[in-house]
Amino acid sequence: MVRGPGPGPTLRVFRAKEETVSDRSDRALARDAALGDQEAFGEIVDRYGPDMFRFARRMVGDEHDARDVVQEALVSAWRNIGSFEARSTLRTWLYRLVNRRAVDLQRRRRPTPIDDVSLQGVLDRALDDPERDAIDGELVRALEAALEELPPSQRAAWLLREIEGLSYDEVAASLGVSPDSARGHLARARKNLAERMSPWR
Amino acid sequence: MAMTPGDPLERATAEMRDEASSAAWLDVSETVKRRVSGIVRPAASLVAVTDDGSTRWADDGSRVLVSERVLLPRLRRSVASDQRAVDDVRVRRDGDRCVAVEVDLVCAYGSDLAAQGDDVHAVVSDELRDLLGPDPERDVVVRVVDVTDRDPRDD
Repeated sequence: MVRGPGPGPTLRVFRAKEETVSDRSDRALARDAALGDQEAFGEIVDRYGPDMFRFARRMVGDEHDARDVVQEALVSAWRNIGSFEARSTLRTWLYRLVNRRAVDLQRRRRPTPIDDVSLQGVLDRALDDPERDAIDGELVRALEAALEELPPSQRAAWLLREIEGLSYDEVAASLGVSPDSARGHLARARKNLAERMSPWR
Repeated sequence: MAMTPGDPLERATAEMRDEASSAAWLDVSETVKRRVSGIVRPAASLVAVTDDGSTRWADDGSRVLVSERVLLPRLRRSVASDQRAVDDVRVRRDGDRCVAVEVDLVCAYGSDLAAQGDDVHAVVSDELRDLLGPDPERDVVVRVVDVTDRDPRDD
């Protein structure tokens, strides 16, 4: 329907209720944020920020760097949310912003490979300790170390699928690659991590 | 390679998945919101006209400019009701003069779409007159681009 200029009833419409953002759809929040509504953008930050931060922390392996990565990703989201299109979900769009910055950061960094000796030390301590919780903690640290050794594309694919719970298509959208490529990254990540964790069997 | 029960990778993955959110997130969140509130997004300015259609507001030729950063949020707020919400707004211009505003709407399923269009046309015209002054040449185009069975402001 198209309404052109011309006389029409002058009707001011007042809101029937106070606008709340707690259960609003991503589309509504993105739409209003694009039109300058900072409160709507704040809801996006609250809704997806914790997962973005967790993903960034695992990607860069350091909380301080993860803060920078997420801040820059969200500031970029605010500047560019007008260009967000519903072809991807808001969630995958935000993960993509984080991933891009995390990968950029790692490119600028000097490589810090994890050597086998340090990983073996973790393994020995864990095997000496009968407490399951303690072993699980050591397992997580071993997994973190193994993740750091993966190429960023494999690490991102594995984290998005296994920790953040995204579908294969969402992983692909977040990484900006085809679904087949995302599946390839994920398969290689699983194989590499399983090999790295096999001493814990 | 699928993980098997008792697999160390599976155990570590489950542990990692269950980790509580970092307390550091609260600091990050506050910082982001503070930074966003200080960021001025680029926006074009539109010239306002006097009641007689002139862009000169004083003898010295001074002009009044209104940023789209002011105009667009105001239109969004004015149009929104439990029957409709703005999906998009586009401003067409000739130089710095606004010649048309196109408003895309999401409306409530079952509402009278023609009446919604008329109402929004009037509301937007009033707001433009308020902010930019009267301009008989200025066009307002309203399109309903979607309907929803939820409150359109939330969907």
